[in-house]
Amino acid sequence: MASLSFVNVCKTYKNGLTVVKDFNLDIKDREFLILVGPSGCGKSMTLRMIAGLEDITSGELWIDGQLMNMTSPQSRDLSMVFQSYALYPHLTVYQNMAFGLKVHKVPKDEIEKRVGRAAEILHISHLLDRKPSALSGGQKQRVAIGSVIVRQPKAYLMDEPLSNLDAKLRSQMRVELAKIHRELGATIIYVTHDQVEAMTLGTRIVVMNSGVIQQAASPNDIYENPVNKFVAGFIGSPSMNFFPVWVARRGEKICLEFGKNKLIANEICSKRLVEDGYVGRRVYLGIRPEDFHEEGPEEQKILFDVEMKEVLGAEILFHGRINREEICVRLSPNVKAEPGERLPVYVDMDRIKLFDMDTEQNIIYV
Amino acid sequence: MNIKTFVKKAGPYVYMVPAMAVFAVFLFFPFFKTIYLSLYKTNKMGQAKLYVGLLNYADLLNSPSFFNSLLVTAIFVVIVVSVSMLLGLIAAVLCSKTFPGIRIFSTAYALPMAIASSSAAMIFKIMLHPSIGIVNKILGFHINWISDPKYALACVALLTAWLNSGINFLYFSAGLSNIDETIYERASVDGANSIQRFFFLTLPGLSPIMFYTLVVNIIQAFQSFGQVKVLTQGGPGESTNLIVYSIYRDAFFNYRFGSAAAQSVLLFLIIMILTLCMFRLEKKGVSY
Ligand SMILES: Nc1ncnc2c1ncn2[C@@H]1O[C@H](COP(=O)(O)OP(=O)(O)O)[C@@H](O)[C@H]1O
Ligand SMILES: [Mg+2]
Repeated sequence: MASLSFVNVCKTYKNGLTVVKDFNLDIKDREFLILVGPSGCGKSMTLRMIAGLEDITSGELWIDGQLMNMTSPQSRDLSMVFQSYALYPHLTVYQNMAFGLKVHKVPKDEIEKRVGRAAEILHISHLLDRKPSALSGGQKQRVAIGSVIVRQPKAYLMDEPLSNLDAKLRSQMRVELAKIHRELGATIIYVTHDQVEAMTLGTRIVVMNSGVIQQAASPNDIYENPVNKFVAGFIGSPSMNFFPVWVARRGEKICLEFGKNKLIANEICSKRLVEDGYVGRRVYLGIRPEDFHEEGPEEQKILFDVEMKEVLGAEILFHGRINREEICVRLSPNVKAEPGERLPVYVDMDRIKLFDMDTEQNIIYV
Repeated sequence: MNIKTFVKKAGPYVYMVPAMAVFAVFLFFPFFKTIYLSLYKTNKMGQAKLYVGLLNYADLLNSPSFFNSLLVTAIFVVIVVSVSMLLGLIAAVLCSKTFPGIRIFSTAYALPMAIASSSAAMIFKIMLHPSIGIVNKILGFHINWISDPKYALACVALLTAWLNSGINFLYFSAGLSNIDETIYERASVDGANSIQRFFFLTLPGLSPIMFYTLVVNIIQAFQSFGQVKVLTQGGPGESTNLIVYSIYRDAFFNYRFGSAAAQSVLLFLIIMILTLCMFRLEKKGVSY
């Protein structure tokens, strides 16, 4: 198992397009690191640079204290699930999964044992004699995962390995991956754009946008304490609601005003807003859908026009507007409101986020 | 109504008439004429004169010269097919990477395809000339390549292999471009070095086209004629007397059209049986 370090890694194409910019990150041994970000932000590229499939334009990549920039992929002792599966079309499922072991000269009975076990975990034991052309997308994807977990490399690289599975299988596989991580004590670098995978699997999440790391922190930190508006909006589902508000001093209190609505900031927020000179200026207010409640103190009330509701069973999502800003509110299923009604909702003021208008940095980031 | 159904039924055959006519004139007629001739003794004009049944065939099977031709052809085919496929494969693998000047190399490797076999043979004849030839000059030998029974067959075979390698290069290049690039990436991450990647991925990936290329090459090699005619005329002795050349000699020098026809029929049978065997094998052997 291994630790990895990126030092100022950049990837620029010949046409001048920079895909990964100034990437600095230390990945510790046994870490389950999640790379998330919108599509095209350079996640796969980062993974491919670790694997050695793409040249690093500038900067350094260290694995276990050794500079890897010039090392060929086959000497890095890694193992990768490709976004496009990359199964060997002329080999059976069994041979596909055994390939990596075979080239590493693992004895035959050991190969048999490991492939058998992996196939069981992934529910593909009945497919071992098939060729990839006779598999569905989800089955191919599990074979790709199987080919990787049979090995014990320095680190596992996985590029959206569960993207093509149905919901039930996906949650099963999530559990299995977490188990594998625990049992093998493996270092795993995992690309996904699935919120749930990111939050449940990762020991640390790296949020990327246009090739730049926005924040690297534990799932809880990322959720509770996003560094900027992008991260706050990207993590969490449905995503955080943003609306511009005026910061105003009303007597002793600092208020956040928009339209006819007025919210009184709590002590911590007030202090920050005053200290950093935001009074009298506009900021973005961020509230997660679950931080609205159907009851609460009067000074936290705002009025919400319901336009649509989604009943999800254990909760209801209301979509609508506050003061022309589109927002989404998550409430318990015993709230009775229909589209067209005006519903009073109460904001949990201890959980709001505030972002600078220009830099979009989190004002109350700690 | 009756006419309508008739037209409907006959229509497809009418469309096939032109193609069938061409086949009939240039393929079926010569084919059956050859079988017919092989049962006769002929005059000098190639006209069937005396029905002899299978006597022509019996003569052939008792003739050491014919068996020599078979043996020479077999050796020739083995050398030509293996060398030309190997050349084509190596060239194609080299050209599957992109690097500056790749176009020039690709063109150079595919070029033999465009050269007429007899003109290539003329050039080789000069290159292999014992006193002024460049081959002897470079190697420092004094070998009379095409007059020495030891070397003549190899020379003709290698020339043919080079000529045929152009088309093999094209076949293999097409085959290589059909192999998914990402499986190479996965294999390299899995730890396979380039030799392992070649044997575990490239060769199996080429196997469908490999088979097709093999069949085409064998048939093509059996039918080589121009280079023998120009370079060695079947000599020295009978050391390069390939069956096709032997047919030509029997027919147009010795005026034994019956015997030549019989040899043609036997050659046809040999190629047909070989091809059938290979198709049988293919069903078992080729992956995918
Ligand atoms: N050969 C290339 N030339 C130029 N740009 C490329 C090339 N390959 C990928 N890109 C760009 O690199 C960016 C990152 O791609 P990728 O890492 O695959 O994104 P993702 O985060 O969705 O996995 C994309 O915007 C893509 O357009
Ligand atoms: Mg990707």
